[in-house]
Amino acid sequence: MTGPNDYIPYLVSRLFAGFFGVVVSILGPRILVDMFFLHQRGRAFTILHVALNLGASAGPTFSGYVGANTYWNVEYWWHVALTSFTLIPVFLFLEDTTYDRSEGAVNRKKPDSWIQDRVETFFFGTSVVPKSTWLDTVRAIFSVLLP
Amino acid sequence: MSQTVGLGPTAYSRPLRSLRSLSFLLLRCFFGSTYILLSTPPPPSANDHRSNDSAQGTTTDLAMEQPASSPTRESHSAGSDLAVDEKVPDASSSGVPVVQTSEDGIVLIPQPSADPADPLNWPLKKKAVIVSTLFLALFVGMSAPFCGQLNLKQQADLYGKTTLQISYFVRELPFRGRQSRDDAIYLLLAQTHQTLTGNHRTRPLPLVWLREDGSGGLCPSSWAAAPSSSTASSAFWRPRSGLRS
Repeated sequence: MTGPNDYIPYLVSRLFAGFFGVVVSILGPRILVDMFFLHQRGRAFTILHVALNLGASAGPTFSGYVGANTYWNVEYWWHVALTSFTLIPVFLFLEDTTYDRSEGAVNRKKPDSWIQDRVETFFFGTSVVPKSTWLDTVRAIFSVLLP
Repeated sequence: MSQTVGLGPTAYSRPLRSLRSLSFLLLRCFFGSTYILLSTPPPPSANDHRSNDSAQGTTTDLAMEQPASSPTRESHSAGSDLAVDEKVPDASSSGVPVVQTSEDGIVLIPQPSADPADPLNWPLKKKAVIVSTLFLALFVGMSAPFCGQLNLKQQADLYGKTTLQISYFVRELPFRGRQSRDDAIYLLLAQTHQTLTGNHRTRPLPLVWLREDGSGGLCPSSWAAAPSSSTASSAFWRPRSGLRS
């Protein structure tokens, strides 16, 4: 990816970074809405947006410092370490906030075992949300595109 | 276990213990600051949706009459401090809808259920930990795509492109099919950028921008963005006249 003919692989790698990186900015607010009441959301959203703004500024800034006196590819490695570290608290602390408050709804009962709860939540997360079909997924995608 | 001299296990374990203690301290400060931010009561505002009996209680009866002998149940409904328990009249027995409020009298929207597993009823400490984790994850997710943004010259030299072509990395991808006010704001900025760079040779395609020389213009920074700026200039300011074939 660092050769003169590796422009397209580099392009695709940046595409993946952007594609997966912004997932938290979309799902994070959804988690806040699930957890906080209306009058509390302003403060919670502010905290999240501080992270968004800081992240967009810190990425090039820290990378610029790292890559100032060396080859520019090195500047991605600090983020490799940061991403690796972030996986740990995400696995340990994040919880699914899916909850149906409608009458007669059956919600998931959290297992007593912490390990089992983590496994159900992250591998692959399908047992902590209501069952849905691929047709539902396709409908959800196109419902966004339709006016 | 025998003590070793010099660079034995004890010599390594001490800095590791210090590092672990420092990590725990940083995590506690991180979670604690989020907890304090979330738990600080909001100042009173004229826009607050407060109930009529805010000075007295934690519930509001929409019918304005509640039987005196109405049974109560414990609820973990939350206001400014989510750990506060509240006495909530049982709506099912009284037959009238009951609105739950915070201890400050703010009507809770949405109304929480009586289930402690309801995310709205989680303790504030648990919520603060989750928000802190989201903060870290979002910081990482947003900073990752922008790494390398300041090295356009080096990248252009390596890949045999112009710095302008390399700058397409920080553009946006047309991904959404709906227009909104947000898109209009974005497109205005994009058009400004387009004007500043003097680049009018990008060709909009559904998901990928292609330069006229065939080089790619994928723009990974944000997928939840708008159509390309060329399309925008056509759609908003110069209808149909700006499209390039």
